[in-house]
Amino acid sequence: MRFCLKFNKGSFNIVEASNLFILDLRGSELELHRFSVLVQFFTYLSEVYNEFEVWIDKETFLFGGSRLYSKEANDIMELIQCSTRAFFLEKKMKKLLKIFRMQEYQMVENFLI
Amino acid sequence: MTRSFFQDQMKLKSLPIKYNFAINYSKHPELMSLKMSLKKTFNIVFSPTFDLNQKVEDSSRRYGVISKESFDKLENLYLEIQNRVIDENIHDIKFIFLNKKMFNWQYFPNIIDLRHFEDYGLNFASMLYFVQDNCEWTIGSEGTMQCYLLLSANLKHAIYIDNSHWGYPASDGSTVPLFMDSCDYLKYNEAPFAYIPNNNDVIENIFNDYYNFKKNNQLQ
Repeated sequence: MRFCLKFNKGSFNIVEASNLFILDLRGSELELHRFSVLVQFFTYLSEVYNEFEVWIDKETFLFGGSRLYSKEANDIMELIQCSTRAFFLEKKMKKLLKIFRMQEYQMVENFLI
Repeated sequence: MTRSFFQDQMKLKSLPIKYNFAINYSKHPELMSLKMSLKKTFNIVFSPTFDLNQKVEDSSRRYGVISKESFDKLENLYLEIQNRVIDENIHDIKFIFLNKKMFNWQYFPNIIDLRHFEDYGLNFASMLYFVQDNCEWTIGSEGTMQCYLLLSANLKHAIYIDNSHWGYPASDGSTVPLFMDSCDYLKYNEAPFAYIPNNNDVIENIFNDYYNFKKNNQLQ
């Protein structure tokens, strides 16, 4: 159950002038409580960046076959979108969860949960 | 890992969220009447898992995912607050039960049962906004609902979360947001390893807020 992150040291670089922050959660198979770990940074990201996108796909959340859980995930995304400047976008997937900022395409690689 | 990666490496700040959500009360007059009633009372959300008969949890989680010792402390807190409510003949403190996994808590007349909040037309998101808009405190143990309650900027939280079930520090895994380290209304001396407040401090804080609530309401 541990929220465990692995990443290649030095594989990301922050550009202070970036206006867009993208949190790519495609294929990350998050449970709702683990998503809340990320959400604690959404207020800050909304304040710092003009645009803050969260990329999702059908494998962003781990539903375990539960339709109720699927609805809860959608409800939470709606609440977060109403409450912060995070904008959820459904996009075709890549397997690894990556965080990167546009302009020079910095990213965190091998960011596994 | 959460702390070292997001906070130290990526320099992100952990901050609460002021939830915002449009609730359509027109289809649910009962929800509006509940809201109007809650505006007149001091409301504490209460959501710790308690499932002695294992209706939904296995035996290792009958008291939630905290130790029996932490649970006992939480139960004592609940009973001490309720006893003080009775001793002081208080009728405008309400406890809102919110978690479907809470079955065995002692009953008191000031309980509002919102465990099946869907019956009021609320979903998981609108429930969080409704609670933020109408309540003052939350008391809870570890769970998904409490995770999202903790993120609310407008509520105060007394949380009883330890590392007994998972074996790693509470705020370094998946439970307690990092901003709770600098909580200014309650001391969590073991944070971030565990978040177990002193019961007397919790009671004093809650009742001080209640007395202020009374004072402000009388002034209006």
